[in-house]
Amino acid sequence: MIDLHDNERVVIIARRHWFVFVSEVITMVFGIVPILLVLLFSEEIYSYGERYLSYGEISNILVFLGAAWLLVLWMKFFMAFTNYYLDVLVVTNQRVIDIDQIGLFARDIATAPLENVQDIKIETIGMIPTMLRFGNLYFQTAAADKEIMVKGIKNPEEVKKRIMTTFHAPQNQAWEKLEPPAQGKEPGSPPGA
Amino acid sequence: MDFGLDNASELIRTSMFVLLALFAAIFLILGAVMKYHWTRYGVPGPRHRLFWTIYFIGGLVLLAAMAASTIIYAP
Repeated sequence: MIDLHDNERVVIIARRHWFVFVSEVITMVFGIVPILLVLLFSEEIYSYGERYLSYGEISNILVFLGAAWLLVLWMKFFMAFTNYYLDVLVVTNQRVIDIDQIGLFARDIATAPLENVQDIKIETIGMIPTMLRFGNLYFQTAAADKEIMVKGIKNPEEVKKRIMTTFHAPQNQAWEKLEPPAQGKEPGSPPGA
Repeated sequence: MDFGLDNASELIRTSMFVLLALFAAIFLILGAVMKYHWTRYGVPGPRHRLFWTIYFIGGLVLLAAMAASTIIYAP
């Protein structure tokens, strides 16, 4: 999925919550309404159409259009599923990678080194996200105007906790140990001061 | 009085053939693109084969229904 650096290991792979996908599918279910309407008004359609075409011909046209419409919905469902499945937040012991699948021909990959993550904000709005425990995660990074946003992720509190744990893990604090403050000096004071 | 119904039938028949070919092409291209994505970007193991099989069988049934109605419609 991603190329890892040397000594890099994946800590978390988090996806969007299933409800985000289901809510998209529910809107697609409304696509069946035109087929139901045709079935409901089939007598009227046949009585009107039989002025011009035979009963069998009308049936064939209706079956053809119905199957074509269902095929469109079927392809749309799989496209939505692909978008859902390939939207991933990957946290390694070195960086945060947000992979955002946009349609079938575009992918947005945002990466931030773990030490550049300054703040992590969780946003849970609404009753259903609160009950099902999903929400948006915002990573404020050191880069100017750069914020990584991950929408509809499941269990954001847990993801945040694990990122913090990873960031504060001893092996990731090695940079602090390289230059310990000299005796009697304040950390950060200029050399020779 | 002739309303050109033969022409209308011919037009419908031709449209059905063209639409069937168009839908089949879109279905296959979309399937190939999605399969590439599933394989390339992280659907692990045999799961992408399962996705592909479900997509293909479902789509094929609908295309078969379209094809059957087109063939039956043609005199």
